[in-house]
Amino acid sequence: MTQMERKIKVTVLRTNPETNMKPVKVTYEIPWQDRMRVMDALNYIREYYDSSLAFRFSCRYYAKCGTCAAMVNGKPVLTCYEEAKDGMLVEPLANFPVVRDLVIDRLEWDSRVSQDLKGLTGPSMKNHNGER
Amino acid sequence: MSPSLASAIGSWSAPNDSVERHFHDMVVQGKRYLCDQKLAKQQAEGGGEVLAELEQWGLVWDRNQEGKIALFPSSKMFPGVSDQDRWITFGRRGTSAVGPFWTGHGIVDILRDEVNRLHVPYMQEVVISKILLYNGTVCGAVGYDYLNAQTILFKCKALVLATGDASQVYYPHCMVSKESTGDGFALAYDAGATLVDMEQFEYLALMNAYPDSARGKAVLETPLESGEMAYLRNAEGKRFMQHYHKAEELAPQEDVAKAIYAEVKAGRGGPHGGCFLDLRHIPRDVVEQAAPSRLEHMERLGYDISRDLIEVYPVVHTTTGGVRINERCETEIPGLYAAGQLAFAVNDCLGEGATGIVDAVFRGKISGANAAQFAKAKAQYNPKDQDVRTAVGQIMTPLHANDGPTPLSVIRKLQHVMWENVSIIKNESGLIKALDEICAIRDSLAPRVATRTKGGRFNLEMLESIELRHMIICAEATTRSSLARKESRNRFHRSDYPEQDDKEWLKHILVRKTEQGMAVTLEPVDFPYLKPEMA
Repeated sequence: MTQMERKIKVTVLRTNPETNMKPVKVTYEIPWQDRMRVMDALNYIREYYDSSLAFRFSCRYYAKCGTCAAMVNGKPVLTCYEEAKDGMLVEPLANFPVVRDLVIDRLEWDSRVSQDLKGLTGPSMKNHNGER
Repeated sequence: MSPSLASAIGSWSAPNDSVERHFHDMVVQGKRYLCDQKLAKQQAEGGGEVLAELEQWGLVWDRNQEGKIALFPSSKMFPGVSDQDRWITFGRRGTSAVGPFWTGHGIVDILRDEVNRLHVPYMQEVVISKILLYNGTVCGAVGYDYLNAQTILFKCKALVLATGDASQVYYPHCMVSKESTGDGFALAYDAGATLVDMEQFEYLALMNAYPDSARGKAVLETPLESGEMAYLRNAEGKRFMQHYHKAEELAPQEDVAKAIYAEVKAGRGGPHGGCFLDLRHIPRDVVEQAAPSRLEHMERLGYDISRDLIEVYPVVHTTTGGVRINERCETEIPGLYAAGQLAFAVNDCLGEGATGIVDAVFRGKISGANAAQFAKAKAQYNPKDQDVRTAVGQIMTPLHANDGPTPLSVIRKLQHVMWENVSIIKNESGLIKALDEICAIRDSLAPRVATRTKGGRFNLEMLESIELRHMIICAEATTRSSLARKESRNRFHRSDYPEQDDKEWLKHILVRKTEQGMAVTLEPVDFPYLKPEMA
């Protein structure tokens, strides 16, 4: 926040299935910071404007855990890794049911993975003890 | 989330490596005798087997051109900390060529596949808030499923804590994942287990100073990781490490951390409170060869390393104190087990290099096997209704409260207190101030916490209100233990007691819950195998 008062506009598709309301686009004005990521904008919204904004993240800028994935301007990205841009639109990942805001429901996906692995037998590789 | 290096003894080891040397390095170099030697010996002897076993599950250790497991000298990774090289290795899942530093990720992947394949039931996005006991034995736990907005009562005969680190109490001055809020430390403490040496942490120096989401994430883990040595400069553009350590940038990480901290305190820091990492003299392809994923991270943030300096600052790497366990991973509470970063074992000791990942899989296996055996032989006790009601009430209170501070605002306050007073360089007045503030947070702010979001699925404030309680316990334990230790040892530094004092302080600092609150006691370190010269 060392940059002089520069602000960016960020629009987030907010969904709360519990109230049966249609998803709404909400635009927030956020102080720009140098080299800012999309996740910085989301965290700013939650900390200073609306603590009910729901999104997942875990490892932050390691781009390893994948939990922060979302659509930014129509493309699936890791929000920790993607540069924040003025006027960007942040939406939940496509093709998943939405739990709330940017949080998607992975349950069906996970069970499908589990189902696919069924029948594969035990440890598949021999222990070659470094002698291969 | 992703430790990367593995150090253990196996048939692949370098000819001059041995169980004895590995054990010696863990105890002497890594821990300066402040460890449980029985656990270190057990890991030195058994760790290699677990690494070989991981290969059966599909983890591929890096190979050299002869097809043998590729070994890297530890001095390349952790300069300045050991007299002799030990050998460490990287692994990955399958054949994906992602470069080093994906070992932890590879292990997570293969274990998740196994869990799915065997249809082991698991729940996600549940936080445990209380361990339930019946006559002092584990009988269950109460948790909150914040994905589905419901409290859950678990009944169980044995319980393994594997919740990782507590260094989120220093956010954003930490490198750990968001969920490393010390849940297991606090739950074990609350159940009556002992916390050991909670003042001990490790630091890394070369971490991104900004933007917020990348703060505390490694630019490099060591200045040699970039292939050739990277330089550190202050805001005046001058190299400064020569004033702090004869090895300059190659000094141990905690000395580099202290030096950056001192430069910043002296007013020679950058706009984000750090100093500057300079890779301009190193050809890009050298960095790309040596550390491809690090280079990608730098360039992704918009740095051109041939032109730009990167502002870095020191952060907490890991907790190294933890819940007391024995060789079977049992805590002092029957039925309660602990493994990984939260257990007081060998953990991640940078000084020795790369024992954390071995510790995690080694203790994970032992704790699981013993907990299963324990559960088979015991009857299930029913949790007492009153205990369950109290625990559920505690979870729900912030949801029903109005007008109190938000959980996140109190967490931020606690984190600020910890970094300002209980971090790299500590002293008595700062620690006393911190303890006062932590107790005030514990007694007057935390009980009034109120969520702004009421109900609903994925209410992160519900998670934060539980994590806050855990973080307060960890912060208090760390601060009280830091006050008690009147010396400097390893990465623990007191400016009012700057010397290592083997005469007085070869002691563990123990924290336990009593009716009067948190009690600190001292216990002489046991030396069953290796004895320091002075003792």
